[in-house]
Amino acid sequence: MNIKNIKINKLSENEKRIFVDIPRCMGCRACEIACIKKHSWKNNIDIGKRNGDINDINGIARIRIVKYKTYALPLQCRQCPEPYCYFACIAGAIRIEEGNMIFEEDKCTHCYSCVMSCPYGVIHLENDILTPAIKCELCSDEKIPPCVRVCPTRTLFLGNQQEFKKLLKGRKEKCIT
Amino acid sequence: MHYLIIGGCAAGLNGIEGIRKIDKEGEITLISEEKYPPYARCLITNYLIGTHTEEDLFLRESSYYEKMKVNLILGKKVVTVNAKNKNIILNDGEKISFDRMLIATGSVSQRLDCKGEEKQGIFEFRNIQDVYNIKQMVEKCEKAFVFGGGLVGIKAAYGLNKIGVDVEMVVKSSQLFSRFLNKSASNIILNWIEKNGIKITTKIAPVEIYGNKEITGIRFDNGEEKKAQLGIIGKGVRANISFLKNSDLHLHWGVVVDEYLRTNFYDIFSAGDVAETEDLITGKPWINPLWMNAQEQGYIAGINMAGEMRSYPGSIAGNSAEFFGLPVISLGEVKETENVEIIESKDEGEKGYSYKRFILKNNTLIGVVLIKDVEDAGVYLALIRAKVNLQEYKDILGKPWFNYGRIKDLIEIENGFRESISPEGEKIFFK
Ligand SMILES: Cc1cc2nc3c(=O)[nH]c(=O)nc-3n(C[C@H](O)[C@H](O)[C@H](O)COP(=O)(O)OP(=O)(O)OC[C@H]3O[C@@H](n4cnc5c(N)ncnc54)[C@H](O)[C@@H]3O)c2cc1C
Repeated sequence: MNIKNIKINKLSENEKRIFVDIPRCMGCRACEIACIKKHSWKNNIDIGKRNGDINDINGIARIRIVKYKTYALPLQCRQCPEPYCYFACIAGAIRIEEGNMIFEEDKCTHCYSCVMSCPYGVIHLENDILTPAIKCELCSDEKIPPCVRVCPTRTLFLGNQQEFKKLLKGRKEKCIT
Repeated sequence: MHYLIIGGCAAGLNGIEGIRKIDKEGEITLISEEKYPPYARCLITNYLIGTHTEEDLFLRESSYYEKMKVNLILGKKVVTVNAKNKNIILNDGEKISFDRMLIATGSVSQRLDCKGEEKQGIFEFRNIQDVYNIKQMVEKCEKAFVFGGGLVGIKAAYGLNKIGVDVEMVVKSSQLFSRFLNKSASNIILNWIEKNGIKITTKIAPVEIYGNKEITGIRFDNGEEKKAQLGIIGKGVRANISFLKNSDLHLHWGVVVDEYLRTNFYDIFSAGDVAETEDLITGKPWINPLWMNAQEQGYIAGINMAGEMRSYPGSIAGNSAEFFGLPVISLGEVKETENVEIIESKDEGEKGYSYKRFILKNNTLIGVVLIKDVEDAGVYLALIRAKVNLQEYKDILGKPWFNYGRIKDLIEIENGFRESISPEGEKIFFK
């Protein structure tokens, strides 16, 4: 194992996360596509796994649209402050340090414990290829994650809770997550 | 405030995390018998195979303990606990007093209970030292046996198989994983593992291990004798409480704790494999000796030690593993008992080995087994934790369209969070 190449993803600074204003979502799945593009090796959704290039397994959406009552619901990591995936991870790959969630991909050993424990079902593992678990990392290398950036209806919102609540002030029907 | 933690693995480490979340100043001392800082015990197989070195297993970098201001005492054992006088004695005679203490001494292997068990070449499979010793032996080993068909046994067999040792598992009961898989699920796994080169024999047990000092062979209860140079015990665990015998602490299977993980002494807490908490599903005292429970308990105990009052909802049997590329997840009570309803689906076709099983009692989900297609397992675990009525949702269990969106309301409604829909406290839904 190449321990020198630790890839640390600093997440959820100031408890930032992606909030969802559910009624706005029209299920266009632009966020899914933006996510796949961002995480495919060649930054292109047309070449990659679908053409049989298994090196491009990263080209998997970390956000997905599911059905929720009569709504479409974007589902992605909630960056829980005390996440079950952390408690379940037998390898110490997921941990919280100084308020940041750290996912050290090199340490992941493909044991499915995070998949077993995430109540939202937003951590994925490929069945037959030994790759680290895949989960939303808030794209800390970008100012705004691509999924939020491309959302045409502004369903997705990046920020902390206070900022999000301010945005919803005065709205009668709130259906958020 | 001086916090003392005995036992440095999952529960002990998270004790530090919990304490430091609340109390940034208090003094913390962590004592562990092993000479390594907290490490990933479940991955010692990888150390056996050679993909990980000892350091790779460590759960935190060494700077972490400095940053957290933790005084690590490694390689020393606590031999006596004076609960009344609030001090402990180490094996070298040193006495250390504490204000609050966390007992996180984990578990020890069950014994084999057969003649010749103490012979050289018979190992437990619990820590780095065990694996180091096994590694010294494998060179001259032609045939190895693993006793016991639990998770630890299979991990040991898997590791030996990977480094090219001819290994056979012998299991006393009639199936693998009798603790957390039902018969038909375990048969699928058994076939798969055998297909990948590990021989498994069920319904036999060793009666004698022979050889001069080192083992040379094993006699089984069906009369058969087989040559062997290595044997590994994987027969389950029991709480490591022998050193607490005269401590006035309330002991049963493990250290008995209340919902705040506090023992019968106000200042002493316990967490992990050594602590006897409630089982979340049955509500009865139980130990589920698993990593997830140990980490969560350690964390909550730490928080409570530092003065907060957070109750622990109960431990849960949740196993996940992957053998030769086939993932298996088992949650809660998976065996058939009275008054349960079972929903089962199976696909042993070309793609094969896909299996799903749901166990409901009074319309609440109490157990799940998933093989191969394990996506969304955590959502099922959330349903088990929430104990919600699933009468109208039975037909979506295990279906490809099952996901969090389908049951989002259910979890919220049942717990009175529908109106407040507060995003920050989502974890509270499951309490
Ligand atoms: C090979 C293997 C594979 C496993 N795989 C999985 C898995 O895949 N999933 C899963 O959920 N669980 C798994 N487990 C179980 C998991 O490792 C345990 O549940 C977990 O380690 C419990 O943590 P703990 O901190 O309570 O105790 P332990 O890990 O047992 O640690 C206790 C520590 O305390 C020290 N100690 C004991 N007595 C004293 C004393 N008197 N003084 C000082 N120090 C002392 C011990 O040396 C030890 O370091 C596995 C276990 C093994 C052995």
